[in-house]
Amino acid sequence: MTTATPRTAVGRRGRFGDWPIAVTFLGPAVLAAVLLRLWPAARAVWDSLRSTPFGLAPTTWVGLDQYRWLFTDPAFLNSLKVTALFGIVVNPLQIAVALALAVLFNERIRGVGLMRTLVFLPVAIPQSVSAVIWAVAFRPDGPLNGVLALFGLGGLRYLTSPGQALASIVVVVSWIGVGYWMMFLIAGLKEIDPNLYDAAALDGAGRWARFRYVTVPQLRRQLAFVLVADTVSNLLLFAPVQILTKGGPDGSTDVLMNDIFERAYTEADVGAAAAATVVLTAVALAIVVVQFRLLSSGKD
Amino acid sequence: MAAGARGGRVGMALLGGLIALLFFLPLWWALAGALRSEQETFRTLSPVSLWTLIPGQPTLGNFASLVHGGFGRAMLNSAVVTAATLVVGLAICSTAAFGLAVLRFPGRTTVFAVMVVSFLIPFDAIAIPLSALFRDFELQNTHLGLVLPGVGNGFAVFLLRGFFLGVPKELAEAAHVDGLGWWGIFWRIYLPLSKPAMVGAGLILFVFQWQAYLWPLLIAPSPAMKVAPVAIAQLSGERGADFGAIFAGAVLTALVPLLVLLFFQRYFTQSLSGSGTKG
Amino acid sequence: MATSTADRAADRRGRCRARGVARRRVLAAVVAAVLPGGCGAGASDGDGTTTLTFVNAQDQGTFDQVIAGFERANPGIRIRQEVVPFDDLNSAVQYRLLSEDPGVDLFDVDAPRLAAFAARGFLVDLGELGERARGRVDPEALAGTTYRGRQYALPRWTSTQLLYYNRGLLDKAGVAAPPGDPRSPMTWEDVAAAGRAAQAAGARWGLAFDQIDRYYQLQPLPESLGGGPGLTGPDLLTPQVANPAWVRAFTWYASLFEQGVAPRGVSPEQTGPLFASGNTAFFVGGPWNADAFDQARGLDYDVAPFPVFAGGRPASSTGSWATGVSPFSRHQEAAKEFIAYLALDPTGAWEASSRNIPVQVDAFERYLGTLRGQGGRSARLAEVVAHELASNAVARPRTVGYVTFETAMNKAFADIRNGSDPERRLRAAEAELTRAMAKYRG
Repeated sequence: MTTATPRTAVGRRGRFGDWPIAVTFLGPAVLAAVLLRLWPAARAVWDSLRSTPFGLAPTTWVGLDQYRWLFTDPAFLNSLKVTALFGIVVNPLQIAVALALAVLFNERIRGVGLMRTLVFLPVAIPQSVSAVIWAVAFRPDGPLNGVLALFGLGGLRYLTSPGQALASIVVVVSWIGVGYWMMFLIAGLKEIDPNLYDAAALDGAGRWARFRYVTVPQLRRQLAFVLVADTVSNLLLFAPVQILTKGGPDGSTDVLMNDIFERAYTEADVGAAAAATVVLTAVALAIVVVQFRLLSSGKD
Repeated sequence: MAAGARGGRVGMALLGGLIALLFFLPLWWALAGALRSEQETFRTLSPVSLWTLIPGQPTLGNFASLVHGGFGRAMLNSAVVTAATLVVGLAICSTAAFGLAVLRFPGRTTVFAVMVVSFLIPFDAIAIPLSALFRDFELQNTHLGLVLPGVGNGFAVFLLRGFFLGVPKELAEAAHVDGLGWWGIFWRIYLPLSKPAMVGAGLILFVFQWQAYLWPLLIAPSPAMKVAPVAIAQLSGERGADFGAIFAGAVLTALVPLLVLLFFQRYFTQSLSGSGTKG
Repeated sequence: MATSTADRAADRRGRCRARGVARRRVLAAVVAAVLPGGCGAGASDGDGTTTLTFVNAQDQGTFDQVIAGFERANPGIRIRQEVVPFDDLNSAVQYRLLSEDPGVDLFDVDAPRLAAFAARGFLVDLGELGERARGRVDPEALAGTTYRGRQYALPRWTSTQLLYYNRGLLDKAGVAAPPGDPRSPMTWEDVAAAGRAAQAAGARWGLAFDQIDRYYQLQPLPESLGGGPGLTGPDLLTPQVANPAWVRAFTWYASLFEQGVAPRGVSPEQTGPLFASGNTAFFVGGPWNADAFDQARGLDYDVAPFPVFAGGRPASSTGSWATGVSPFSRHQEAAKEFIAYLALDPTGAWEASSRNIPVQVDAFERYLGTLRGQGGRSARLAEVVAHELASNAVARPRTVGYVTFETAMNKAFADIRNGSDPERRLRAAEAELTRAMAKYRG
């Protein structure tokens, strides 16, 4: 690395490298991250070790008992399970669909700009409104079943069935999210040198081979971003669940963040909500560390 | 061969159009709901017919009641807060990403870890202690209080850092030889090359702020500071919801990003290789 | 005390001004037009006027009249409203009070949640105002806003439930209209049967509930069978939601959805439009629903008393919003003045009633008188309301654990509607609540 650095730069870099200039570049962002995210998160760790009997001050020290209590709560254990199931389904699905759409909408088609925008648009309206729209669409007497009836098919139960509710939530959040992730992948596709495709075509590579051996490797950076950001976003997601099902029926859609929201905002159980938040952040961290490992090992 | 390619293109255009239409259909229904009475919206729900999607007796009444209820103010607040977040956030996030991708200094890994951890923390779960802090600093009911949490976005830093890492080092080195400092390199070389990535980072900042709900609820309760998502949520009360006005609100909130995005499309068609820096 | 408050207010104004400058500099490039809003909240203005902030979740315009009336009578006090979306009122108020926000002077509290707010020290004891209320406010409602013998808020409204029916749909099915006499309600079993008959004759739905899945509206079902409100024991912290009466009530309830008499998958916001669009035979809801139904084109409806189970006793939902004062308010005396006006003054209580049933005795008589004066359907509605409130109202349990209880029960009701076995689900809720309520017994 240093060998590639020209003499001028080396000359300026002392023992502390670009430290003074780095402070000016990174200072505001680090300050924002520490003050607006890490500090309140540290507060949550502290809060999680204290009990607030229905929000009453003063609080009492309960230490790790809070976590012990949490991990024996069937509702919390259920939400861990639902979150895992949700993540396993929704992340690969969203990334695959977003990638397919990005490739399609990267073609030179008439009106492609408008098409992209229409697919992106759902993320731009308030989630409460998205939820209202889908609450009506999913009604057993609603338009989705109406369309099925036109084809002579029986209706589904959607949000009213413990077996179909999570899948319905996946549909809603994918409708919202797919266009958003697609945009990042399209930006990545635009960076790929068209000469690479021409060369591959000369070698007789078909459409699939060009996708497999040119597009995917060249898109690695954007795909890595989408993989990490999408996974984390879905882990932290709760608004559609909170509005559409409140975690039901029978707890089948009670993702972890919804559980936290309820403890924090409805019940005002500050201690338990903080402990659950710590657990969620730890889970997110573990997943991201694994993803980083996989991505960097795949590079070599 | 050429005819086949053209045929393929037509097929893809049809497929693309169909997919775009499917994604847009729920919003179209909301648009139709904004332009008719609530009674008509629900009456035409079942069985499904063309009238489910087309207002039989169009009216602008929903928009009128929305505007009468002070929604214009809320839209303006949302626009101001989001615009400020975009400008300040892009500045903060792009400089930080540059620092992480290009500069060499001890503790770089730690700083990167801080940025990553910052986007793993569920903001809505820590909003409560943070809002108490903001209140102590008298940031309640201020635009600044609404803007601040959106400006340091770890996702945006992460995205831009990835992009900057892909910019060939030789460019910076050549500029260094020409006597350009780090700020000059950032401003004259990295930024002009990064328009697509900046648009992406802008999307992240935009969506965070445009969708913000819980934070404004906690920190900006004054009617004068209301933002659009909160104003729309207010249309759904204890004793029923004004669906027509909710849909009208959705149409208006979708309109701004629609226009902005159509405008920024051209930056997506611009590519690194196109500007002759790669290959 | 007075001086320090004044100092603090002056200091606050100074800081507000300084902050305004700094902020303007930051955002000047973005916008110059849209500014302030924040300063002056909860502070005394320079000319000696006091501005009070009143946090509530009512529809726009609900309090315009009473605020105008109060400001006319009290030129030194101005009322500023902060309206929060209904679903978020309790959490928003809760967290602002937890951080001792002086920006809240007055706030709305739903009667059953009062105990939890009072226990946390989030409400000022209204003391002498409670004495003055005696004889002027419905005693039931007044009792509903006390905690451990102290008056922590004054009730503004009450509510009740009645049975709406679509005359055209019942005629078409050859079903007799329910008797209008408040003393002879239909049975739930008959309502379901009549609803099915109407469906056979073309109605889409037989019966719809307004506040579907919500404890508020479903509490009367087990109460009608003598099953109690679901909480017993000292301080009402012991759940009892799976006794035979509860199981019977919710087995019947589940059958409505199982048989398709009532719709699944419809949220409380969408239930009113079901009846308003004219294809639902029966609808149970509050008097407030009548406004929307009157405006619905082509809807021929009438009202009857809230149903009762065969062999059970009549029971109907009640209770509504009360207004209290925050202990962190810097203008508690002025805030009490406003509460006195909107809850005790006959004119104020009438102005504050909007479309609701006032609990101030004179305003309540005026409410009934107005409806009776309109004759016909409105007069019948007035008779049902008067009778239900006087004889059948069952209040929600007043306990610090109410929020936990209601949250768990609403979920159980939703699951039962969606097909969970009623008995098993109620037992699960009881077990869950036994565990969750333990923290309040401490």
